Amino acid sequence: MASGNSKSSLVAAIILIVAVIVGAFVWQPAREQVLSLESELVDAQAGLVLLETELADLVLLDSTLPVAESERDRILEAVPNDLAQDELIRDLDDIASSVDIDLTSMTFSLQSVQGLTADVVSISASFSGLYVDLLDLLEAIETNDRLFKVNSIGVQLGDVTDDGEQLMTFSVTLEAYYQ
Amino acid sequence: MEERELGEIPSGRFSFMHLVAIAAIGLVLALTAWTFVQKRSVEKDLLTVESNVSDVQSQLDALAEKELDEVAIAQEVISDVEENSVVWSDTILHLLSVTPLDIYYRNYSAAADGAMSVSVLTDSYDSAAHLIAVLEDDDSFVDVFTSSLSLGNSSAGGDVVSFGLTFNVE
Repeated sequence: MASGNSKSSLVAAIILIVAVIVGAFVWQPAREQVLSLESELVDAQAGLVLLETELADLVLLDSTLPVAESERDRILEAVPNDLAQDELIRDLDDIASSVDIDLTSMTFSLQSVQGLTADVVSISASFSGLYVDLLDLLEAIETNDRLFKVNSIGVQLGDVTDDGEQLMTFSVTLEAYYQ
Repeated sequence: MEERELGEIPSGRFSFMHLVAIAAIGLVLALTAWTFVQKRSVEKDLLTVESNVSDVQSQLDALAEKELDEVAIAQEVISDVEENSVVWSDTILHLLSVTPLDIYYRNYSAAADGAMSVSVLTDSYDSAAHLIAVLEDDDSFVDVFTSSLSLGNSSAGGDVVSFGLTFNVE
């Protein structure tokens, strides 16, 4: 009877030990994994919310901008992503050539304008040529693909040529923009 | 014999210890099973969220290629410049179109705020006054003012009135 009791107690003890082993080596690691995964899930959900907010903002922004790709390209050409000083020099040279006026000098300075989201390069340029070409020159500057803001102009009339045409020197201060 | 039987602890097939052991293993197995179910569920949720993140990221990448921020900034700058700029080609064309024929501009200059100054030659004070009247009557020009006028002689022998004129372009 005592032997039967001991055997029975041993079985119960073995079951308890198995329960402890399963608890310690199976359930506990699995529980830690679940906690870790839940933490990962919370982080991922938070990241998703941020991305969705960003996406919603961009979609809203997209809806307020021109639809046509060509128009967007035109806008980015007017205010490009970098200074592109080489293009500025070529633009001014092309403008002067297109209206038969000499571009005699140009100076550049970089500026930061408060309240403006883009950076500014200030350009002072001097031209000389016939007075009759002044308006064409101004129009060419105002309609250039790269946006120019005319800050100041100065026109000095000079001699009259043998053909009776009025000469002038023209100076202009411009602002161009980049991001 | 009867005394001996009465003194022993009765032992059946299931003692209290057995009950505790079975309850313990049952509880541990149930918890383990539940934890694995939970794990599978969380893994599934995580996969769904990661898939959504991937989708949203793809859409963001597609929008990023459109350079929306850059276009928005550029558009803002263009609007700002268009609102705050004087179209000088139009202004000068208009000034020249309203200028009387006996007026000769030696030089002129203009600033971004619309302030303009011209240096003028003409042949009489009356012509100078007429130019001022013409510009004052024109809605495009305001605050027309000259600080001094002077009379001289031209190389051809005629009178020359020279003066500076300032005004603002509307």
